[in-house]
Amino acid sequence: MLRFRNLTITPDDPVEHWGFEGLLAATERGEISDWSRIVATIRNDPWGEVAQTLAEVFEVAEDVGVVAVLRRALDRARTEMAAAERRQVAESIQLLVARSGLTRASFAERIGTSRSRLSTYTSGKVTPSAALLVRMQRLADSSGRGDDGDARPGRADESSHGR
Amino acid sequence: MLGALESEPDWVTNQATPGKIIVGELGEIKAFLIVRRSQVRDYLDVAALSDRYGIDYAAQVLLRIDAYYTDQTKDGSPVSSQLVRQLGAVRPTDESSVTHLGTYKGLDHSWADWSRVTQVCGQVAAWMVERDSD
Repeated sequence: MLRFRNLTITPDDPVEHWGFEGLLAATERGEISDWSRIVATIRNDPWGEVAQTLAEVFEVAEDVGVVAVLRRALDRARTEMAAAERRQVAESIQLLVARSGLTRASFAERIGTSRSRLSTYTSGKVTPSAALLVRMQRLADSSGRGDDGDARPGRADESSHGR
Repeated sequence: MLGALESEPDWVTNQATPGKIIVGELGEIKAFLIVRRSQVRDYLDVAALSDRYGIDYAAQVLLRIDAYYTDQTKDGSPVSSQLVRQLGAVRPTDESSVTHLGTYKGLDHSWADWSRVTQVCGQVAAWMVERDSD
């Protein structure tokens, strides 16, 4: 059973309190139940403090097997979270289009892009830039109020492709 | 007894003819052999069985291994944990056998690529830890 020899906390404390020493001890002397708790924590926040500290542990831990497993779990957690964030952006854009009351073709035209390009945004295939999102937000706000708004066509290539 | 079991045609390193021995039991025995003797053929069998019956299923089966086996070399520590350590970084005791995979009888040629074995083993280890965190 895992023990933290040099710490005042115990493995029963939340993983968020383990710090570098605790995470290193768990990696090298822990068991599957300890690694699972680490994985659950980094899945919840793949770029959080535990994830950052764990990356430091990877550099010094001698148990290459557990390091490989945890590294894979961290990569997977980050990939899944990024995909979820892209889906969230896509859903937000769908809501903005709906809130505007405009047809997709009109909405696309009013943000300076094509209908097919807008479809890549609403499907999550492509994630638009933050600047373009602001433009969509402004259009949804103004159209939703029934006024004309100040959205004008412009460059619509400010986007990044999802994976 | 292990020698007798390994002469069974169901061992992937001999001939893959599933159904005679319960697959889960087969996997657990082979996984225990990874912990006990850690030979190339042990990793090969666990990788091939996991690939054939699903990584997720294999991980579920191997998470139950502590109910049946104790790691006598590690003062009673869980076999599952030691298994994760070894599957995460495959280091067989007979490493030279890796270059002779083509000489194994009845081995599907796709398993002659050792990197495929280590990749599948790593996936099983990762699933064991992730499954346990659900």
